[in-house]
Amino acid sequence: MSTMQFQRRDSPILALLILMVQVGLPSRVAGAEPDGEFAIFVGAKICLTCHGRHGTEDRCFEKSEPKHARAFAKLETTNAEHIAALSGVLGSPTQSRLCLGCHSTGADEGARWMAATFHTEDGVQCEACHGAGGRHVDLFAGGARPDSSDLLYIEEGDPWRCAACHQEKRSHRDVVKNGFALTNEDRLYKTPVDLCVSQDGRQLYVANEHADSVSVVDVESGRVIAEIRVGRRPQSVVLSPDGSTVFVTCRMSDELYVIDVAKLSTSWKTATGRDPHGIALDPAGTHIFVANTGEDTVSVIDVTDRREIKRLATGRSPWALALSSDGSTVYVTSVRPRGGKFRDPPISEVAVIDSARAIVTKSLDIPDAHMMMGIDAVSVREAMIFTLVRAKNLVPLTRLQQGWTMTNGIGVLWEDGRVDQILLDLPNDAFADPMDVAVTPNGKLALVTGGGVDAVSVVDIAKLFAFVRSKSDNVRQHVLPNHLGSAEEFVTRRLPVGANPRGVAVGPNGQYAYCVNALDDSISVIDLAQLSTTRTILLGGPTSRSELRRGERLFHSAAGTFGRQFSCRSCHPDGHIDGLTFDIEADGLGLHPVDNRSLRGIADTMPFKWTGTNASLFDQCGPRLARFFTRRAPFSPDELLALVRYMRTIERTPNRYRKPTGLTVAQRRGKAIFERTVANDGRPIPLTGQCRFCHRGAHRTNEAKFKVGTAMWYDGDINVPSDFRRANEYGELGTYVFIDAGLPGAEFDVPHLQNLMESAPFLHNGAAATLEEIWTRFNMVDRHGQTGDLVRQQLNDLISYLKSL
Amino acid sequence: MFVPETSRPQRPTECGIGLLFIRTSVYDFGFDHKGRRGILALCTVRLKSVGSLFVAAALLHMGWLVFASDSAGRSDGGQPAVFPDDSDRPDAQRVRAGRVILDRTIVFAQQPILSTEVDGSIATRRGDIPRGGRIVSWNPTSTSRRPTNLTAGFDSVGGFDISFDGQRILFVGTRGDDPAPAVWEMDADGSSARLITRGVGACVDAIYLSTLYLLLDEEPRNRVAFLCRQDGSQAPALYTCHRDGSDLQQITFAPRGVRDPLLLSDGRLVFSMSSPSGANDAKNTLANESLFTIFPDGADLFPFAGVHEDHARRGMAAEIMNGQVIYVTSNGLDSLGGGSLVTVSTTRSLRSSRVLTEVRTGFYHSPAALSAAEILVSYRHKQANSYGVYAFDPQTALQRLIYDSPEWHELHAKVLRPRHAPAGRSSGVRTDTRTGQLFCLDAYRVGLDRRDPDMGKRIKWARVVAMRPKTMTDAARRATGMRAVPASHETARSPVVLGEVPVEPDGSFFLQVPAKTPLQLETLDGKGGSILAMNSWFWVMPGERRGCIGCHEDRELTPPNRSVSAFRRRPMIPKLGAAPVGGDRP
Repeated sequence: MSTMQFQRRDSPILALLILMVQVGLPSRVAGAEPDGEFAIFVGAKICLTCHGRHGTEDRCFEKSEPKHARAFAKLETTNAEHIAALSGVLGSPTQSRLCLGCHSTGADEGARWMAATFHTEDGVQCEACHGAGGRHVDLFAGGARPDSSDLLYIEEGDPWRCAACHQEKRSHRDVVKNGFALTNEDRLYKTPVDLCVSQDGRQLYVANEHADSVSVVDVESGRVIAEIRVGRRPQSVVLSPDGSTVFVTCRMSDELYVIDVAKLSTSWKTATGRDPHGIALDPAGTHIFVANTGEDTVSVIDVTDRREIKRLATGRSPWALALSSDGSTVYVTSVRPRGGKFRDPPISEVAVIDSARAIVTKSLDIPDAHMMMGIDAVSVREAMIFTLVRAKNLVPLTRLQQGWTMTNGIGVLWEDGRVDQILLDLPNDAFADPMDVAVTPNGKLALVTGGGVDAVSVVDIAKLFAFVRSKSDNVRQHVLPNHLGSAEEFVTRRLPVGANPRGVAVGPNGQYAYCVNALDDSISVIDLAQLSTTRTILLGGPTSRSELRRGERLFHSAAGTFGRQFSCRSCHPDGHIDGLTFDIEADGLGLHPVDNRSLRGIADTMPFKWTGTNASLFDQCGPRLARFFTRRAPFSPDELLALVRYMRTIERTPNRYRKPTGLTVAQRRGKAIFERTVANDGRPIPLTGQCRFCHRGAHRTNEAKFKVGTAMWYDGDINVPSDFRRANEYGELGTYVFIDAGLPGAEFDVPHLQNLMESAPFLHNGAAATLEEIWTRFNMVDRHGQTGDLVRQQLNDLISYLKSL
Repeated sequence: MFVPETSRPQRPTECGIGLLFIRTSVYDFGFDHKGRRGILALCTVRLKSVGSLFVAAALLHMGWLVFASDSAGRSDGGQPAVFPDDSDRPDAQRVRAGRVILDRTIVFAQQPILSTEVDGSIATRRGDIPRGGRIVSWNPTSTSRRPTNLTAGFDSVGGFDISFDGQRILFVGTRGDDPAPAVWEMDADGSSARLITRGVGACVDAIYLSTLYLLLDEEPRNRVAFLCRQDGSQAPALYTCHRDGSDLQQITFAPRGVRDPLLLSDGRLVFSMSSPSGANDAKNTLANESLFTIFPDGADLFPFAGVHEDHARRGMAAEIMNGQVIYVTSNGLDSLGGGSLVTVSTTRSLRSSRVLTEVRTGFYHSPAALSAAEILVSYRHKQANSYGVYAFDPQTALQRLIYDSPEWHELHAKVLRPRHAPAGRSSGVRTDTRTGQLFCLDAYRVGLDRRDPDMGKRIKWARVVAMRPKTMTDAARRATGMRAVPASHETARSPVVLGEVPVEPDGSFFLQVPAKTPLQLETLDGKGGSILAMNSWFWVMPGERRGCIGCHEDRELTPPNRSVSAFRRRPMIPKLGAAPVGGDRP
């Protein structure tokens, strides 16, 4: 007689005890780190001991149990791989918390909270709906009357709970019904994003973001002589001063890889901070500085010890680093502005690090600029040149003529700390998305890649400096940063290169420069004497363009915008955000400033726009985009499909606030608050006051719109009663409207909460600088969830949990 | 007097002896209109009258050589192209082989000399199409030296355009009993002419537009634009409609009209419109005209070239193949509006003008793209009667004759070939409103690098003036402080003060104004005295939200990234009498 047979016919308690003896008491098994406060997941087998087919509650299993149990197995199919790709999932769907959220049980809590009796492979189990049953089982096994108060019972009137997963997802429909499938090309593209040149100038080391590799290219023959596997999504490559080593940051795996040039293999690697991008080495090559874009720090790594020795605070989202010509200073640019007063002009920062002492000595404000993605030293003049974008996010986006939306240029950081900003745009012929800059060894030329315009601008540095210095202080401060046409004074040539040029490097003798064309899988070789592109080196990626690749090109190209002012990427670097709020024309001038939203993991999070106006990405990126942003002809249906599919594949980054083993105890407490149905005083919380009612499912959104009391002045043309305004005048920017109920324009899309912490500022208009402010400043009438009764520790726990999503 | 083609006296098909005169120098065989270098000039004289004998004798006296006789004669009097040795040119092979410049068909308008010389005047021709004109096509490589008349059956034709696929021609013409010139479309071989506009007024010129996308439209709109005078107005305006003539929309509202529309490759429409010049306008009888752009929906009026430059008429713009626009600037000496050629870059059009030719020797008219190195242009020597078609090299200012008929003006030559369709436009113009919005970010900004802080102490109000039909009584006008009507303005309309709004302390203001109406702005001090006033007119389209940085802003300056106070209110409707009355004008 098997155990299960015994369970059903005889005492369930006895059967449960036998099972526990066989597999060990759930709460005591290795691997589980329970906290007395919370139950652990025990698995369906334990539940079925009592609640089997003839048990006390069998409704769940009669029809749906077989399908639920097979849910995990579906993640192992080919279709699942395609769906995962269309959902921005990096890696296997069987390892993805997003996929496991509906295809398994307890994915949110993580392995730490699972007993040995629990198996993820069992798919959607009892505890997926009813909650972890460890305590319930403990009590039952201990002979006590089972306390079911911590278990969730599904009532007939709770279809919304099931709908969290049981709703059609476009990613699934695209694959299952529309036949979308990843192509071989999609798997084989290289997408080079940065490169460096060997000391003798004969080899190039190229970081291939999509291929997770570094290609070694022989310049003379134009052949790839080696491709070295590194971590996830390599970003920057730098050669050591002695030329023996190449350092590579990998932004998705938070690692620094070190490649032995002689052996053409990885010699060691070490962990960095979150989302590492730029690298710089001190003159001796003993310390490596790595910009951790995801956490606003720079890691200082000791090469000898091969470990990080300290982290330095920088501006928001540090990106590129460069060593001054005398080696004494490391300059760190940032791509997003620091948080400031609501709707104040953005200010980004350049951090100045003493390379010898590895300390931040200064932080320079760069007003009205962001997206400083490249920096290099002018060796003979003691100045730094960096790329920048000057957005017009505080001016209504009513027109594109004459640079009214986005301008692109460079900054000059002089030795005395003064910074000049000059545009590379011409009127109605912008230089969209300046990505990187490299200065020739003789300090005469600077090459700037224009990722959105497929070109390299060649800057005559002497002319640039003379031009800037010839201007009055007033002109340098107020005119040059905003003046189109200045580039004609110092840009010698705009060289056409391949699709989406990014990293650029100059050979040691200054004869040639090289830029990687990310979406061509190629390198353009630029003859600096002739100032022309002499040849193109192919890196071995597919030469054909898949649908996703076409979409990716559209996303990164400014060709679809009037005057080539910006691309989709201009506001969404790495598919993420630029940290700005914009005043879009559609909502009325000066009204409804909206926070930019990340595109990472955007699939299946409809509707779109903060007002939820657009039901799909096709609506979001179709005629409305053309009408209110690009002002050109909309994308054709084929282009739009390719673009939307590419956008869905933009990968989520790993959540760095979450331990690999799962939620911390504090986060688990926060989850309990997130899912609570009863307030601290014991009174039930209405359904619409519960966090999980709106923020449900794997994406934590019910794909609907609600009035949550976060409407503020300027949110649409709010018909505010005259008591609250003077003479047709709105209130102060960013102040809160208490009387939102019933007012038009006060309804907002329920945003998904994936990687929430990467998306600051928060709320529809970015008024909340931190998560805390959402509830402490902007939820005074408890309409955005019932949180008024939470004590400080509870709010901290809730926020800790939200960070883990 | 109108002379239909069928009744016009035909010249004999054989006219006896024709002499071809050539003038050369020892240096090379280029034709420099300025005579600065060795030249090759061609002139055909048909010995059919005493006058022509005198001309031939004069040419011989001046050192011209008789090169060949042309005894074959042609019914249209056209002259074949004969070219110098161009072995260094990219098309040298073609030139040597066939002694022709082009291997493609060109289309041009032929305008009888008599009709324009006798009763033509600038004012008349701006509103009327030349009588007896026709559109012809001619292929230099063909055996026939006679151009093909594409508009047989039409009494007269005006401006025309070739479709982007090179298959159709859009033109203005009159045919039959309807004297009002209308817009027609025909196949490129002249067949299948079909009427597009009917009863909309007197059309002058027509061009194809790129696709226009409106937010609520399921399908893009393929439209055409045409110049037209409606209701007896002397000021032609640009209109657009579908290719079937439906959905007529007026897109320019300049009080003195516009002319010479051109669609740029980036989707903007360039046209000529009167504007204040840098010189003293009072000394000039000729209207100063500069080039402006709008989008095909009529929105976003913006200066393009010639603004605040010397007093002249600028027009006939053409985009050529190296990112340049060439236009003609005229001082009124040529009755057809010909003048010198000026080039600007499409990017820095306000700062890059360069004069290519001068009018010492002759007049240029209606340039068009030809190749990367050359343009097509009509040219008439000062002493000559008619325009002929030339290939002109903007870099060297050398030109070569392609076709000339002494009895016709050959104008508006274009190569018949497909071209890239200019960029489409997604429009925010709406049909459900009659107003637009207007905002100024900083009225205290008075120059490129100057934001006058004293302005903040003085400017208190912004006044909106509209050009409207005269409907108010004189007393009402006086009461509202309406400005005087300039004598040069048409009398059917007059400027009317719509009202004033307060300027925010930071210099910003935000207005709601009537759409499709010529408007001007004026800043006032606290007593209602005028501080700065616009001299030119602009308009907004329904639903358009139009902004400016400040007064006298530099057109290459982007706005500073600042949130302004004016947006803390709803757009204000100008209120008549809001500002005090009685201030002095500066």
